[in-house]
Amino acid sequence: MDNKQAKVLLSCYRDCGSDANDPIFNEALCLAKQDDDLKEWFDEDKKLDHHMEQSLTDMEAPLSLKSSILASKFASDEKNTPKKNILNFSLLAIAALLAMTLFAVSSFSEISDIHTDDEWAEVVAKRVQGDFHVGYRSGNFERIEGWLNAKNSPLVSNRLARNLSNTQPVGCCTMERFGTKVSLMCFMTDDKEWLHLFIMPKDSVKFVDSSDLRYLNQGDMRIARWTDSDNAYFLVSDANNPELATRFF
Amino acid sequence: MNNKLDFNELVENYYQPLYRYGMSLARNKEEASDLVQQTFLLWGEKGHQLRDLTKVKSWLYTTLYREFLRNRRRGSKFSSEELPPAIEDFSSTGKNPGRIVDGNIAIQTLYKLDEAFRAPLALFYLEDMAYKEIADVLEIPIGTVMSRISRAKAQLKEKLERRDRTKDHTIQFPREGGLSQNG
Repeated sequence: MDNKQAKVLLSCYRDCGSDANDPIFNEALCLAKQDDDLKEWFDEDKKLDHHMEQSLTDMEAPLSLKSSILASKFASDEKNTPKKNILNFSLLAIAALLAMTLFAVSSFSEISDIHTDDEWAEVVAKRVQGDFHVGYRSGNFERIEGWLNAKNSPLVSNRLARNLSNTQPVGCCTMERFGTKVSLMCFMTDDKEWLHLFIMPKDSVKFVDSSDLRYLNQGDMRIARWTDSDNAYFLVSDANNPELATRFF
Repeated sequence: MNNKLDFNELVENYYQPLYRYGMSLARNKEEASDLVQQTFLLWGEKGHQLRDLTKVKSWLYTTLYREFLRNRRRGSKFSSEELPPAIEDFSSTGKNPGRIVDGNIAIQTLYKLDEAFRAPLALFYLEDMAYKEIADVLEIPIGTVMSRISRAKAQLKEKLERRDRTKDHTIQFPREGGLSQNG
């Protein structure tokens, strides 16, 4: 073994690990004891190792990362939890029938005019109640916006519900309804409550009530609808916590 | 999820080192965070398939590395790498011959290595991984790992020395006690 070969081996040597008992290093270590140049090189190499290890270990992950991971896992578990399987077959049949009916209705609706916010509320509530795929997962609001932007999907233009930006984002997806592209951003509160924000162009909604902010109920869902100059927003939350949507306004 | 491992505990133990490794690969805070998040999500979905619980660490690092490569193949959505600020932007500490190499400079210099060298070297430094474990994580032969670590270190030293020559500085790595100045 020459010095060059020894250096390759010693570069990978970890004196704190199992390498000390690894025979592959024996010869190189013996050579380093006998050869002053190699010994000096090895000592310097270990100093560099120590310094690099210390420098890298000092690097801290963002504070939000851990909570973001846990929120995502929670979200994933919730989506994957099997529903009650009592009368599963019957429910499946009913669901299929409903889906076909809805499909027929929505297909028919495609050709009709702009839909009211009541109709939109029904659509977004159903969307949240059913299984859906979060197309992009991230705990970072800007990154979620970037993903939606790349898909030419509507973005929050001017007015995001107060404090919503401080809630933990989980992910987003896009969907198309009534011929309109809609963005869906998913958030999770500290209490592990879901919040779903649907964004669509303002001109795709006919407003039954001209007020800027309106609360609607759809089955188990509580919805806050508001607008800005470009978009209409539907914030959907679980009615088990009826104050959830309102606390953002 | 694996029955014998608590997810929260797993996150607590590994999210920091995985983030550091993600940073070493992606050189971008956002992408590193997403890589870590994706790794744990995949653990949630597939971790139960791992029978040998001593392999959890390797599994996590391998998964993160695969995700990184997959992002790269897809054409990363990260339009520009958060390339490290120019090395020169990091100030050294004074003009004494025994001045130290700032930790930031060391990291930024590591980031400037080619990915093929950066990946094994970061594992070597971050996790005290033996070359065999690194070979497992990166799924490359042991000989390749050794060669890459050796060449990576050579590149690292050369870059640090080149910087040193440019700045008319002398590089001295800290002795016991870390980043203290010496004379």
